[in-house]
Amino acid sequence: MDAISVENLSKIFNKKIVALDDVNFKVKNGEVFGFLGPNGAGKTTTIKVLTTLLRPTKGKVNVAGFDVIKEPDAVRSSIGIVPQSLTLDDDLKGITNLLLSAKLYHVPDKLAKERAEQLLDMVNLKDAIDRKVETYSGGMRKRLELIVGLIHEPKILFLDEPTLGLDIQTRSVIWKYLKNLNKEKKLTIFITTHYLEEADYLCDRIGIIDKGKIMVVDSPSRLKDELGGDIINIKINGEYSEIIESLKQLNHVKKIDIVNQNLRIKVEKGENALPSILEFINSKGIVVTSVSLAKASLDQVFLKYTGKSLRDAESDKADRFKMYFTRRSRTR
Amino acid sequence: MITETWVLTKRELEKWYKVPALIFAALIQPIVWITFFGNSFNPTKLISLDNFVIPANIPPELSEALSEFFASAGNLILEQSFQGAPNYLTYLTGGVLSTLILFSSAFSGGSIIWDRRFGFLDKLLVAPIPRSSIYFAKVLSTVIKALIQCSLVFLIAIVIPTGLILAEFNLTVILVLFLSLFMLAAGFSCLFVAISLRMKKWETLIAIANLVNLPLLFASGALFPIAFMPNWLQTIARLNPITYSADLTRTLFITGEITSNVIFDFQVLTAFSVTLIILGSFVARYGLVE
Repeated sequence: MDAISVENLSKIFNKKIVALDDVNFKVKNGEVFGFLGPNGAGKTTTIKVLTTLLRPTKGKVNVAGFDVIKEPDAVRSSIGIVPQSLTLDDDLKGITNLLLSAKLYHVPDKLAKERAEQLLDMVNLKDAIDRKVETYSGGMRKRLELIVGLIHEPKILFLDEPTLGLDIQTRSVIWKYLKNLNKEKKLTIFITTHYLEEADYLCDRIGIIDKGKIMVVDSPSRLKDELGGDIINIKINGEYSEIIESLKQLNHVKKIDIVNQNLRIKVEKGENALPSILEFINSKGIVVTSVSLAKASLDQVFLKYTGKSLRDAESDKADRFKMYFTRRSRTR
Repeated sequence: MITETWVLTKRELEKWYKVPALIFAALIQPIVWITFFGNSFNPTKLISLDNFVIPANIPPELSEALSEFFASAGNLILEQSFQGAPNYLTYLTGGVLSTLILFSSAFSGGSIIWDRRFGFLDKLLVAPIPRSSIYFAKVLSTVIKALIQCSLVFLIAIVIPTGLILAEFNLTVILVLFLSLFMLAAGFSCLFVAISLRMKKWETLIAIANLVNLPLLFASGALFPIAFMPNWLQTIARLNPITYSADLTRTLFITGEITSNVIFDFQVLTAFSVTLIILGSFVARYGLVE
């Protein structure tokens, strides 16, 4: 049985703004599923529908085997959520936040305390747990937020931009936790992100959404393969025309274009192809003045399906996040 | 439902009692009403012999009668217009307690706006708990806070010099008193939390609270007998639950007995709170969304 199944899901706001347009996808049990898309593509709307915060306008959505409209409470009991915005109560201690959440999910007190111990060990928060959350750093908040989402041992964990605005060390620590949870507890993880390293490292499969429509769903490696390989850029002293035809005969080489007076060669396995290509050009007595190799990346996959670079989308978002934080600190 | 409501109520109370300054700040206003206003506005001094000189040329019997009248006029006013209260402060305190409840209830929706703003509400909305438990936790915590504040103000009113003078009373009276204040607080909090359910800005709530607070205070029997008011204002005051709560509270203070008036006031307050609780649970079920 699938952990999540979405069929013909549409969400229309105020009868005219189409946020989701006939979305279909499935997430298997025990899988890490990445959900990627530019800002405003419909990622958050999808998560809100999956987590019962929004009712779909049309379509059938099953989460953990339950219908989100007919059995919202069964869905809610089966899922854990680490939202994008911070949802901890700053005025309360870390441990109070954690145990409060356990109570809301009807975890018996004794069991909650045991689990809290383990989870706090896992994310290394034991020392800070008796302090008010308002004294926490961004990384500590996120780690606490993560275990608050896990205290009732959900079957599916939803993470909305879990590492946004965190430094690179904290980010990799959180990736490690997630990877372990997925492996050891067979936890199904649904994650939205703007970081392609994150999607590449964590996800078994990713779905790319743009303007409310699913563009593609597949594993990161297959998507990269579909790009048709890596790209080698070569600049030479001399005429290109002499060598293009003979280059095309080489192994690995799939396609050659001239872009900005550079040779743009699409190849399979760039690191293997590059030496033989260079050797060939040299043997013709032509001098190579510069070379670069671009490995097929999720960024290029993203670009292909959305017309936007992931990095552009990311910086846009990071700025908004920063703004939110300054606003928040000013209101206190 | 009850467990979840209580868990969330405890959260609100924990945030509250850990900041004692907040609790006492809320007490200042009612205490000022009682000590400054209650002690200064004294109907017995409105008419007194000192302000009038009895002309020397009137017959001695008349002048004697006049001075007798002036000597007792103040008490006559208290007796006839202020339900025989031993002093104005005793008359006023019931009204001040009711007003205190109105003021704290008016801001009860504030915490739901903060929770929405800071994302905590999202966490509650994705938890497997009844929506109404989120709503009633806000209501219940407000009611508890208001009743604790009322008790403190009540104690202060007794302790201060020339303060509240109570008639003899029994346990039933205390129970009726608390139940009535409870119902007034529950009704008003249900109303104001419902108003704030979908509000995104704290400023809107402040504006609404300021808009309704003073009219509800003056168009009620909290400070003066409604018989002093023009007819149209009396009509409004009769629709105002504060009128009944103030009347009930002060009747109990002055007489210490469950009179027919008290029973009627109690019925009105029951109807008021039950209606709003039912309305509130309906609103919470369908209105509390992300």
